[in-house]
Order: sequence, then C-alpha cells, then structure tokens
Amino acid sequence: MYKYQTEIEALNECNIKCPPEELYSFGGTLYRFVHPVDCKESVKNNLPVCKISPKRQLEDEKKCVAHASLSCFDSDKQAQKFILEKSLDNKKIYKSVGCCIGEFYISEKDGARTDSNEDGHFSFFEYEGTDLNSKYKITRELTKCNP
Amino acid sequence: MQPIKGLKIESFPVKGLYKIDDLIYFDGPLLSFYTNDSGDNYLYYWVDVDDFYNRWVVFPVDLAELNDYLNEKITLYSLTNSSLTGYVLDLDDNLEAQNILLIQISDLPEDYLPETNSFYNCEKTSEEVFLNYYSKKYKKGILQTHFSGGNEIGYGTMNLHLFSKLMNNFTDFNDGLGNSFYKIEKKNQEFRKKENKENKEKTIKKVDFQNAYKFEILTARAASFSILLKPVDEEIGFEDTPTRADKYIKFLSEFLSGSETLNILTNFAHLIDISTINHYENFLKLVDESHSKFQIGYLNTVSKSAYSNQIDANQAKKIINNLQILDFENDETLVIVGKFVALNIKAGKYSFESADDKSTGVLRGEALKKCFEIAFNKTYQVEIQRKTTKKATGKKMKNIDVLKSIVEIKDAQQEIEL
Repeated sequence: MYKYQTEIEALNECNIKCPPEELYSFGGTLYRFVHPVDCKESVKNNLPVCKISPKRQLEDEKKCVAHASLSCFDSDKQAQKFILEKSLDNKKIYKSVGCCIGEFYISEKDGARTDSNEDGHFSFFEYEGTDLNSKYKITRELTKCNP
Repeated sequence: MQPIKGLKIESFPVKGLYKIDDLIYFDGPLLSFYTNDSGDNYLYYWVDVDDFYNRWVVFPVDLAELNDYLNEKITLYSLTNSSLTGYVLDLDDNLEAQNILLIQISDLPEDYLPETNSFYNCEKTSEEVFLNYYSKKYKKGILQTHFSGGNEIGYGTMNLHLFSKLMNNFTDFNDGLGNSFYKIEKKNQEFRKKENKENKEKTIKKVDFQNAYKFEILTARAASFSILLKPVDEEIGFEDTPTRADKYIKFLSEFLSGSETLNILTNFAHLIDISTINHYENFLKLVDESHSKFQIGYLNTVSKSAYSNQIDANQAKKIINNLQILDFENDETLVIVGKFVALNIKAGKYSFESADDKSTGVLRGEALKKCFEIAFNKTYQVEIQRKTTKKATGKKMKNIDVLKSIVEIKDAQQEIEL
C-alpha cells in the first residue's frame, strides 16, 4: 500500500495509470527541494502536489506522477542545475517548491521510484507509514528564504 | 505578494479559453498555452504564491513568436515583453480567480518577469505543441511534413525548386498509397461480409476514402521548414476511435518504417501500385541528394492517434537500395468495372479505367474476339490477369496486364461508384 493510496485510486478511476509500470523499490540517497525547517512553508515539505494548498494548477486536472508522488533527483548537482534553469523562467520558483536542497536517506521499505530522466529527475511513491521528514538534512541553501 | 499596478476588473474578459499544453511544468504548470474558438491565444505564466493564492500573469501571444520561443530563437523575457498589456489573476485553492487586474506588462515588478536569457529548455517540442494546437482547434488529425538539414533548408526557408520537387513526389506517392489503402480496406470488408452474412457495415466508398488521404495546407511553420496539413475528410471523430484519416496515416507510417526492412518492403510491394513505389523512390533520391531529413508527425487529439517517422539521407540510401534489390513476381486476377479509354485492335492493345484502377495491356482469347463490339460510352466488367515483376537488376517495377474477358454491364449506374 502506498501512503497516498486513495489519491492513486482516484487517478486510476480517471483512467490514469498510477503508479507507472516501471516503479521499483529503492534504498539509497535522493535529493529534493525543501523549505528551511524554521520557515512557515516547511509544513509543505515532502507533500505531493495533491496535498499542497493553494494548488498551483489552472484546471482541476490530474497528472499521475506529480500528483501523488514526490519529485526527486539522483544527485545534488542535478537538482541544483534543474532549479537554476527553472529560475530563469520563473524567478519565484523557490517560493513554490523550496529554497533548499535536502539530502534524504531512504531504505527499501520507504517507497518505490520511477527511472530518472536525463535531468536526473524521478518520482518517488512513499509506502504507507513512511515519514520523510525524519530522513533528511538540508545540504544546500539555494537562495534566501522569502515566504 | 507584491503589490501590482493595474486596473481592477470584475471578471476575466477573454471567454472560452481552453488549454493546449503546459509548456513549462514542475510539480504543476508554470507556463501554459491557451486558446479559444475566436482565435485568441494566451499564455498563463506563474509568478508568485502566498498562503491563499497562486498568482498568474495572462498575456496574449502571437503564434509565430511562440514558435520562435519553442525553437529557442527568442527568450521568454522577450515573448512576455512583446505584449503590451495582460492580466494578473490570483487563483485560490478552488481555482477561482480573485483580484483580477488589467495591467501593462512594463508595470510588472522585475521579480515577475523572466530573466533576459530565459530560452526554452523543456521537453515539449514546437511540433508537439502546434500539432496539439491545430488538432484541438479543428477537432481532427493534423499531419506535419517537416524538412531539415542540407544547404537548401533554413529556419523557415527552403529552396523552392527542392521543395516543389519533394512535395510533387510526396503528393503522388501519397495519392498512390492512399489508393492502395482504400483497396485493402475494401477487400478486407468484402472478406468480413463474406464471412458473416449478417454484417451490416456500410459499404466502403472510394469518395470517402479519397478524402482521408487528401490534404489541405493549413499553414507553414518555421522549424526548419514545416507544412501543416489537414485531411479533407469531414468524418466526425469520436474519443478513442480512429478515423479513416488516422487509419491511413497509420498505414503510411508503417510503410515508411517498414520500407527500411527488405522483407517488410516485399510484403508491401504486393499491396501497392508500381507507380507509387516509383514515386517513393524518386522522393527518396531527392532526400538523399539534398542531404536533407524528412519527418512526418501526426496527431489527432480526439481519437488520441499519434504517429511519427523520419527518413534522413542515410536511411533514404538504405531504402533506395532495398527498392533496387527488391526481386519479386506477383500474379493476380482483377475483376473491375469501368470503361475503355483506348483501343488498338490491330495491335491487340487496350487502356481501361475504373473508379479504382487503370489498366493498359494486351487483349487475349475471348476478349480479343469481342473487342470489335466495344463502345467507349458503354460500361464493362473485365477480367485482367496482372503480373507484377521487379528484378534485382535495379530496374523499376512494371505491370503486365492481359485482358481475358469482357462483359457489358447494362445497368452501369449501380455498378460504378465514382
């Protein structure tokens, strides 16, 4: 069972295949964007898109991978490069996704992941009972926190 | 969120906008392309968030500039600034717009504008976006033919001589392939009807199928040089159900990719008119000689049919080689209804045309005896023995048609579907 099983089943009811077929259990290190712990936005840390309010959406549409999973990267460098490129388009992106990079230590019991794309980005589906908030440390501040 | 200089308005004034695509996406859209049936094209650009709202700047976009942006010719910064006015919308968690402002783009805070070097760097291609755009707009499949590479093709430009020669051969090849597709579909239907007497399928008519593989030019697009084509067919599309045009493009796509493999090409050669294969060879020679690359992309957003193929100069060489070493003989008997268009009794030669086929060859046996009675204004059912040969000597394929029997059809109107 996944942590967001209800949301996944809702996607399946909309004929969206979730999780994707190529998912596999993963133990190791992953990187994702987080807000600093002392920032009020940190309550949004490690939540999938479907649980974040207000929604950054234009229509009530569901896209499997982003909706019920967490965006992660294979390495700190890939995460940094990715967000730097995105910030050229949207300067306030840090305010939405987090202004720090967190390094997470994951065991195979925590969840399953997709393959990464050429940017090193992949989706991580937490298993029921997993709490990623106790499994990371902030390794890089990308910009000053400005909630 | 930052204060914005603008004129507060009651509601967002541009009606009927629907989404074409998210152009930039990370855990939700960051830049999305919208249009409506009146031809208004807008970008929704995410700029900020607070505890209650996500803030979007909505501004009109010119399609040619959007194309340039997606092809990394201009930045998001210049795309944004090329619009003088726009709107700011604060969308709440229910996606309801609050605080709607009419703004001048130049009045936006600097933090709300992209960086000056914000070239497009995401996974969507301009081809995907524009196929999606036109397919949603016309609610049917759209075909893109795209030429790139070589010295004679640039960004949005192409040597007219090369273009016309390529398109001429492509059009002839497409017409021939479409005709073969129609004949295959008709044969398949006849087989289905034979197998199941209660089969109530509407009889396939050539006129419907012709429109599935006849195209109108919709627009040209720079990228390197693309032409977007719309099937003439007005068949109503249903979700997840391929149209005739979709099925034809699938056939075309399978032929293009299959022709790289000799065995598959040989199988196709039995189904396709000789002149079609010859036009294909001429087309490939032009691709090879001009060192260009030919691509097709097709998308029908209603039926969710999508196909793509590409042939570069090396692939063209390989297929030409396949065509040249293709060695086969095929015998078939055709029974067709139509009219004689030429007759040389002394030499025992004829030309005959039906709605689907043309045949030129020699008269033999019964047919030779009966040829004195032939009138050009009458309709006949004829039996033709067709031998198609292609030798591996590099010569082109040819048909040898022998007309065996002739029967006059009295009630011609019912027999011929023109």
